[in-house]
Amino acid sequence: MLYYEPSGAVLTDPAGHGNMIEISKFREEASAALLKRGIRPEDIVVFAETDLALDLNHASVYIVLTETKLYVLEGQTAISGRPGKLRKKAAVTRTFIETDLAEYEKEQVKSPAIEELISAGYLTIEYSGGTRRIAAMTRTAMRDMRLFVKYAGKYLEDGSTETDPEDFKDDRFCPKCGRRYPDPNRKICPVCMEKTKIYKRLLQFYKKYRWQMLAVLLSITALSALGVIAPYVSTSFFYDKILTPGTGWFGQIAFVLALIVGLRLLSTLVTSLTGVISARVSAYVTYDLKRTIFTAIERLSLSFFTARQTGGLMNQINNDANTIYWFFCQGVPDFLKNVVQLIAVFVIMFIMNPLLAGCAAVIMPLFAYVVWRIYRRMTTLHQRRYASSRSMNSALSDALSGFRVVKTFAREKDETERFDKRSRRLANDARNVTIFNNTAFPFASFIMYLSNIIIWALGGWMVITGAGGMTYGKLMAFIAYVGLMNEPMFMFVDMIYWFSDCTNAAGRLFEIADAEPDVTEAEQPVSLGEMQGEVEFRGVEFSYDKARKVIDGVSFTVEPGETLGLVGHSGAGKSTLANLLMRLYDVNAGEILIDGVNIKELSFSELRANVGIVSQETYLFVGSIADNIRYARPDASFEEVLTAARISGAHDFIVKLPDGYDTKIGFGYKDLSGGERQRLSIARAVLLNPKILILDEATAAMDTQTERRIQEALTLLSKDRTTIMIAHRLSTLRDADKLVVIENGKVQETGTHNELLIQKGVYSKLYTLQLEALKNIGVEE
Amino acid sequence: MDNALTDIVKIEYLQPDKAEFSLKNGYIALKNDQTEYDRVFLHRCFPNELTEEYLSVLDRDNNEIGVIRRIDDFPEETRELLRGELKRKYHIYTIKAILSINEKYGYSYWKIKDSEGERDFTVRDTYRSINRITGDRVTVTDVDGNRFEIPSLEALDRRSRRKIEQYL
Repeated sequence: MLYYEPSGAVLTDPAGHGNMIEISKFREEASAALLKRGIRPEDIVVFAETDLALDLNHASVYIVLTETKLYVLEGQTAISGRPGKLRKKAAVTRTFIETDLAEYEKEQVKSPAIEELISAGYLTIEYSGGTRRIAAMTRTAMRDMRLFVKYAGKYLEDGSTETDPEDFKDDRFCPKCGRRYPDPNRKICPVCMEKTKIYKRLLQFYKKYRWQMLAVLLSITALSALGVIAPYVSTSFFYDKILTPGTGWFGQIAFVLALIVGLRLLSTLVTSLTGVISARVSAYVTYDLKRTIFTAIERLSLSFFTARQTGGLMNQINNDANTIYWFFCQGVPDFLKNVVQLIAVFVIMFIMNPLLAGCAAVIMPLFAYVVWRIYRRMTTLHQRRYASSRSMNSALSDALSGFRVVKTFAREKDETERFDKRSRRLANDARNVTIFNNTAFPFASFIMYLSNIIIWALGGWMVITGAGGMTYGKLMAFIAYVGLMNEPMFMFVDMIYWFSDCTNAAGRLFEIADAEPDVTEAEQPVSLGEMQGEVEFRGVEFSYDKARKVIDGVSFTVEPGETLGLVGHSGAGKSTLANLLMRLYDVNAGEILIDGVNIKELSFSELRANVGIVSQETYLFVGSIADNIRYARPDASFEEVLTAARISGAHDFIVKLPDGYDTKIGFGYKDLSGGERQRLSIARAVLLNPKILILDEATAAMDTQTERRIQEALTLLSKDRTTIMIAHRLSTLRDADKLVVIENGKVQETGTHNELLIQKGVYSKLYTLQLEALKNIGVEE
Repeated sequence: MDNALTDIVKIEYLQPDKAEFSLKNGYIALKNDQTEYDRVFLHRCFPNELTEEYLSVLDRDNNEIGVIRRIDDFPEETRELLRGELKRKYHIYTIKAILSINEKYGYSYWKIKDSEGERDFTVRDTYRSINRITGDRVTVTDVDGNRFEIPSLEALDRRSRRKIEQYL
C-alpha cells in the first residue's frame, strides 16, 4: 500500500472531464463515488484529493468544487489485486467506500486556507461567518492542498479558471519507478541511477593516466603469477625433486634457496613499484575530481547552498573523494590481484590433481559464506563505534569552540562530564569491536582451517593409496595453494562493501557536478555601457518555495543618484528584494530593470561590477585586512584601499592595530568586533565603486555615533550613485529621498520621511515607537 | 534570591475562574476577563517534556493572550476541550514496527507499521532526521515534514530495534 498517491498532473483529460482543474488524479473510483452522489465530472471545477479524515485517521478524501457547491467526500479506498512492481504493471481494482459527505454552498464559501499543525494540516474555509476545518492532510498531501487553496480561492473570488502549467508538473516522483525523490531539489532517483554510467565517468578521469594504469595492471598480473609460483618451488619442487633421489635436481639446495629468495625479492620490488604508480595516479585523479566538483559548486546558485549545509557539503565532498581514492588506490589493485591469483591457483591445482581441486572448489565457497556471516555482525559493531566517535567529537568541538561561554557560566565541570560520558561510550564500543575481532577472527580462521583439514585428510589418503598420482610434495603444494585461496575469499566480501561505498560517493559527486544553476547568465548579454543607475521593480513576485510568496507584486522606481530606504518588520522581505536585484535568485514573475533593461539580459560581470551590496552577513576571508577590502577589485591601489576604508570608517580602527592594513584576520587570526567587520565590508563595497549600492543593515552593529559618521561619509559618496538602504533603525533612513514601506511582501506606503509622517500610517507608527524607545534609554536623536 | 527572577516579570497565567474556553465552529473560543476571542490557538512551550503544562494561548495574530499553567487546574469540560485540541495539533503517527529501512545513496526508504497498517516513507539525511527526545522516545521526520514517533525503543520488537539502532 502506498503511503500517498502522487497527483496526476493531467490538465487535459481524454475521458472528457471538461474544464476540471485536476489537481490530484481524478481516478475512476472517485468518478464513480461522486456520480453516486449526483456530482457529474463535467460539473467539477476544481478537484483535489487528500489523505486524512477530519479525525486525522488515514482516509481518502475528495474535495470537489462545482459551480454551486463545495463537497468533501470522505471514505476509504480499498485496493485489491497485484500491486505494481518495478517492471510489472499493477493489476489492481480500487474501490471507494464512502463514510461521510459534507456539502457547502459555494456562494457562502470564502477564502480557503491551510492551517499547519505540527505534523499535519487542516483545510479551512470561511463559512457563514466563521472559520471551519473541512478536511485534513498529511504534509505529503499539503502540496496538492495548497494548489487547491490557490485555484479554488481564485475561482471563488472572480470565477477565473486559468491555470499555470508549472503548478501541475509534479516532479517529486521518479518517472521511471514512481519512487519519491529523496530530495525535492535534486532530481536523482537512487534506485534508477545507472551505476555503469557512474563508473564510465569515473574512468574518464583515469584516461589521462592510461599508461600508468596499464603498468599497474601488468605488474599486478606479474605479482600474482609470482605469488602462485612461489609455493610450488618451496613445496612440490623442493620435496619431490630436490629431496627425492634420482630426479636430476637431487641435492641442489643452494639453487632452490636462491630461487625462493629471488622470487621473493622480485615480488617485493614489483609490489612497491605498483604501490608507487597507483598511489600517484589515484592522488591526481582525486585532485582532478575535487577540482571539477569545486568549480561546479562555485558556478551554482545560492539556492543550492541554502538548501543544504555548507559545512556538511564540503565534508561530504572531501570524504567522498577520499572514498574514491581508496577504492581505486587500494581496492581495485587488490581486487585484480586476487582475481588473477584465484584463477591461477585454481588452474595450477587443477593441473596437479583435478579431483582434489574439485573438492576444494566446492568446500571453499561454503566456508567463505560462513565467514561472511560473522563479518556482517561485525559491521554493526563498527557502525556503533563510528556513531559514538562522532558524538564524542561533536561534544569536543562544541566545548572548545564555545569555550568562552563555558567559562563565563562556570560550566567546565559539566562539560568535562559530558565529554567523559561520551568518551566512555566510545571506549566501550571500541572495546566491543576489539573483543569481537579477537574472538570472531580466530573463530573465522578456525573455520577456514577446517576446510584446509578436509583437503589435508583427502590428500593424505590419496598419498597413502597413491590415487591420482599424488605425492607428498604435491600435497604440501596443495595445502599452500588452498591457503592462497583464503585471502581472495575474504577480499571479495570486503569488495562488495567497498564497491557500494564508492558508487555512492561517486554518485553524489557527479550529482553536484551536474546540478544546474537556477540563475543562468544570458547567452547574448546586452551591454549598458555607462550605467546611469535607474532601478525599477515592476510587479515583482518571488517565493523560496512554491507555496508561500515572500514578495508579492512589488513595484517601485529609484531615479539615478537617488537614495531609497526600504522599511519594514523583520521577515517582511526587504533583504530578499536586495538579493533579487543582485540576481542571487531570479524573480518568479514581473521584472527588475536597470536603466530600462531587464537584469536577466545583463552579463553577470556587468551586473555585479555595477551593483554592490553590503549585507547583514559580513564574511571575512583568511588574509590581511587590505586583501579583504581588495576582494572585489584585486587591482586597487593602496590609495584607493585607504580612501575606501576612510569612507566606511574602518580606517580609524585599522591604524590602531600594530600591523595596520596588513593585520591578518579571518578564521584563527585576529578577531574583529561586529561593527568593525561591518565597516570592512562597507569598505569592500565602496572600493568596488558601484553605480548602485545596496546597504542591507550595513550599520546595524555600530553605535549611533559611529553610524552617523559613516552615514555622512556615505551621503557624500552617494551623490551620483543610486543607493538602496535597508535599516531597522529608522533614523538611519531619515535623509533618504524616498522611503518604501514593505509589509508581508507588499508595498504598503511610499513617500519621503515627512510625507509618511503626515500620512500617519505604518511608518509613522514605527517611527514614533522607536523615537520614544530611544528617549527612554536617554538617547536623543 | 530564589524567587527574584519570577518576581520581576510575572507570566500572564490564565486563571481558571476568569478564562472561559468553549467550542465554536470546531475551534476553541475564549472569553478572558471580558475580552472575547472567537478563535485561539494552543502551543506547548515544552512539547517534549510537559504535554499538559505551560500551554501558550495565542490569538489569530499570534499574540499571546496568556499561559495555561496546568490543564488540571481547569474544570472537566475545559480539560477535555483543550486535550482534544492539543491532540489534533500535535498529531503524530506512531510506529509500531519497522519492517525495513533501505538505505541508498544517503537517503533511506522506510517501511513501517502503524496502528492503521503499513506505510512507506522516505527520509533524507537519516542520522539527522532521527531525533532522540527523552529516554528511549524517538521521532523520525520524512522528506515532507511528516513526523513519526516511536514511543519507546525498548518496547519495539527486536528486529525493528535492530534496524533503527545503527542510526542512533
